Parts: sequence; C-alpha cells; structure tokens
Amino acid sequence: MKTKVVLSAMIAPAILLYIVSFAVPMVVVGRLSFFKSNYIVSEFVGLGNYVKALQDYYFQKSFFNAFVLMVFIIPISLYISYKLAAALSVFDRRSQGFFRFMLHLPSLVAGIVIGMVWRWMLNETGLINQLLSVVGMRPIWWLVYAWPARISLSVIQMSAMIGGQVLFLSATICSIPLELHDVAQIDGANERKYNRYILRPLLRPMFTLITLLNIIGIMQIWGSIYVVFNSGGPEGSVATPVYEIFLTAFEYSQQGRAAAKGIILMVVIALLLMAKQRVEKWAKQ
Amino acid sequence: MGKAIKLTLLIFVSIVLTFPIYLMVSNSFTESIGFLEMPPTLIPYQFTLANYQRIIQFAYFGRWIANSSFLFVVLMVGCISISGAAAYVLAVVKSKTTSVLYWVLLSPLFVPQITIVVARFIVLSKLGLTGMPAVVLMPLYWAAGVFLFRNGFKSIPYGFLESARLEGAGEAKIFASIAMPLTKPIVGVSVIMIGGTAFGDFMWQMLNLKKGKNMTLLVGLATNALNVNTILDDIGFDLAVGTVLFIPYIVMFIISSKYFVSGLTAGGLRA
Repeated sequence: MKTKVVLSAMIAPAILLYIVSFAVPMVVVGRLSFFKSNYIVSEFVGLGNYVKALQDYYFQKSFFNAFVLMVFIIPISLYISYKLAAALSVFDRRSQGFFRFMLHLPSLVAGIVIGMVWRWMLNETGLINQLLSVVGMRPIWWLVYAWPARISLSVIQMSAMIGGQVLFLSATICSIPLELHDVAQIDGANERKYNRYILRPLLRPMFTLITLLNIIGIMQIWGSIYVVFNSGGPEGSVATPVYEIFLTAFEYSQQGRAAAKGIILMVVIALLLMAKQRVEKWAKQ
Repeated sequence: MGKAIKLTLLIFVSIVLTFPIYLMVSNSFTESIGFLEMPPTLIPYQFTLANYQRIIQFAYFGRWIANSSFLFVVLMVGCISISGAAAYVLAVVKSKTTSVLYWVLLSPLFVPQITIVVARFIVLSKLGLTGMPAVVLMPLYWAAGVFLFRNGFKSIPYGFLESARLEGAGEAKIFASIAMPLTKPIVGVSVIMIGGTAFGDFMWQMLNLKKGKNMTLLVGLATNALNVNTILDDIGFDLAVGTVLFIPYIVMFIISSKYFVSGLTAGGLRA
C-alpha cells in the first residue's frame, strides 16, 4: 500500500507538467483553429481556417520542400551513420570518445549558430564557390535559386544530424553483450555475417526510431532557414511546414490560421508514422 | 573492412564535419576587412580580438551568461528527476494503466514542436503572461526523457531491483540509488539534449524574452548578430558570436562524455 503511494507520488509531477504545458495548450489551440483571430479580435469561422490553409500555395509548397529534403537527407545520412557507428565499435574506449566528440560537434550546435558560418560559406564569393572554381566549375548561386538552395540546406542539415545518429547507434551497439560477438566468432561467422545476421537486426528498432525522428525533424527545420535563407529562401523554396507556420503565427499574426496549419501538420506526421508502421508490419510477413 | 580503412573513414568524415566550425573559430579572430579578400584564410588573416571586445561590451553580457546558466541548471535537474521518476514507475509497474499512460506521456514527441509553441504562446497571450521570463521554463516536461529512461530502466537486470526489494529498500530509494546510477549513459545524453534546449531553443526564447536584461546568451547575441543584414559586412563579428555561442556546447559535451561508458551492468550480478 505504501509502495503504491510512493509510486504515484513519483509519477505525479510528470503528469501535472504534461497537463499544464502540453494538454491544456493543445486543447486551446484546437478550439482556436475554428476562429479567425489575430490576437485582438476573434470570430467563429468553422472549418474556414482549415480550408484556407489547405488552399494556401506556400503551405502546399512547404510540404513539397520537406519531402524533397527527406529524399535527399534520410537514406544518405542513415547509411553514413551506420557505417560510422559500426566502424567506431572496433576501437578502444578512448578513441571512440574522441571520434564521437568530433562527429558530434556540428550536431551539438544550434542551427542558429552553425547557420552563421554556412551563410558566409555559401555566399556567391564564399568558400564553396571558391572550391568549385578551383575544380573549374562556375560559381553556383546557392542562396538565390531553388534547387541549389535545397541542396545546400540538405547538406547543412545532414552535417548536423549525422553525429547524433552515430551517438544513438553506437550507444545501442555498446549495449549489445560482448558474448554475442564471441559466440558468433566461435560459430565461424566473419564480420560481414555478424553485421548482417546479428548487428543489423539488433539495430533495426534504432533505425526505425531514427527514421521516424528524421521525418519529424526535417519538417521542423527552422533555425538554419531563419539564419541562412532569410524568409524561406527563393520563392519560399526551402521553407519547411514549420517555417511556414512560424511566419503565419508570428510574422502575419494570423493565430487561427496558424493553429489550423499546426494541426494539419500534426495530422500529416501522425499519418506518416502510421503508414510506416503498416509498411513495416507488412514487410515482416 | 580492415581497421585501417575504418580509421581513415572516421578521420575523413570527422574533418569534413568539423571544418565549418574550424573556419568559424579561426576567422572570428580576423578583422572584417580580411574577408573581402577571398579565398578565406585558414589561419587568421590579421589576428585581432576586436570582434570579441565588441561582444564583451554589451551592457548585459554577464547577465545573459548568468541567465543561460540558471536556465540550464534548472532544466537539467528538473527534467531528469521528473521524467526519470515517471519513467521508473512506468518501467516497474506492469499494468494496463501504465502502458496507456506511457503512450500518453510520450504523445508530445509526435506533435510538432511548432504546434506546441503556437499553442503555448496563445495560452500565454490569453493569460497576459507573454514576456514573463519564467515561461522559458516551459520545456520542463521532457517526453523524450520518459522514453529514454524507461528503456534504460527496463534493460536493468531484474535481479538488481528485486534483491534490493528483498533487502527492504523502498521504491524511491531503489530509483535514486540503484536504477538512476545504472543509467548514467542516459544521463550523459540528457546533458546534451537538455543543454540543447537551454542554449539552443532560439524560437521559444526569442518570442518570450524581449527585455535586454532578461535575455539568454543565445537570444541576446544572436539577435544582435542577425541584425547585421548585409552578408559580407561584419562577418567577423557574426562568426565571433557563433564561436561564443558554441562554447557552452563544448563544455556540456566534455562533462557528459565522461558518462558515455558502456557495459556498466556487465559483471554486476554474481551467480
């Protein structure tokens, strides 16, 4: 009986904070999405905000942008991080720590901070174009045209994501008991076989988690866009849904519309996650 | 793959990834004039501390550092103890209620941050609380922590906790002196993740901290640097700001990397 009280007391603060800082605001934002509101007056418009949000050209485009970024980023970064994490596991603890530190540095830094370097490097006469001219290519206007801007945002984002992914993956690899490796070796498995039949299956939940986090994360890129591509890049071509919503809520002060867009984004993410779960279940059979 | 190839791969990727940071740091010691002379130099063109002097001269510079550190400590202690305690309950008690509660408590992870930010901002503006410095503590509920800690606690061998229970330890004691110390690697990760919020959550802090003396280091410096709109002008100052904002991350990483130790539980249980 006493145990029950103690356990309830342990979980109570989390539940309380959850209600105050998440549940209540979500209810309020849900209600507000049916109102036309600009912080001063509000008027009930039913589903009007949702209809207008879905018809909004820039909102539609932001999803396309995010999709392009996902296609660029996720497969490449996941492959690189897996290779790095697997390579990392053969070294002793000290060199592991060193490489984790090096790889993780860029992902530690907020998009705002790292963006300051990138907007300088991607400039017309910046470092990247200098390098291109060494190879004999003409300078590319990274920040001015849509596709170069998307590519450069993908690279910025990837450089910031790989370290964290390596960290997750190698933490999982470290938690695999050494005995498994020894047993596999005794049974005559070489490294490739060990990776294929033991390591990768054990890492699969982590791969899934990382992919999910990436899908959610890419739609939420904000800091580097805010710094590198003022106001969403050329024709809003790198604006992610989150950046669009940010503009709607805090630049144009359309609270109700922003609330509706936020909820649409939430539903889209939920659907994506569900679809992924389905596909995985189907693939298992 | 041989060990040499692996080493080469790791070194190569490390250099590529950290090169922008190196450029940022080295060029922050250059007079802005030096930048117009491309290509950018790998070592400072004309070594100068002028950019840093400008940063230190901000009236509230010391205050910003204090604010950020305070925020970090409060979030750190709060997030880890609150979500850790909740995760412990969710890991130990096996019932229908806890498994439902687990997913409920994780739900913020599946809601885009912007939706939450807009929602919180609206609630605060309805209550007339925007601009109150205390609201930057809103991220105190940490859903990712519940996930990480619960998984960590679940992976602790059953015998550890059970033997403590048999010796009469209460659940709170088991949590604090057995479960928590065994998940030190997760605490290590938390330092970085929570530090990322304290020193990197620009959107929420910028929206709420408008008064100079209430600002965090990030908001104070970044808004000043970003006001420099022409891209080439004053890039040295920009990069110096970037470098200063980068320091907390290095400190956090060094603190936390001590705890990234694998196999803590290995050999803990004797047959």
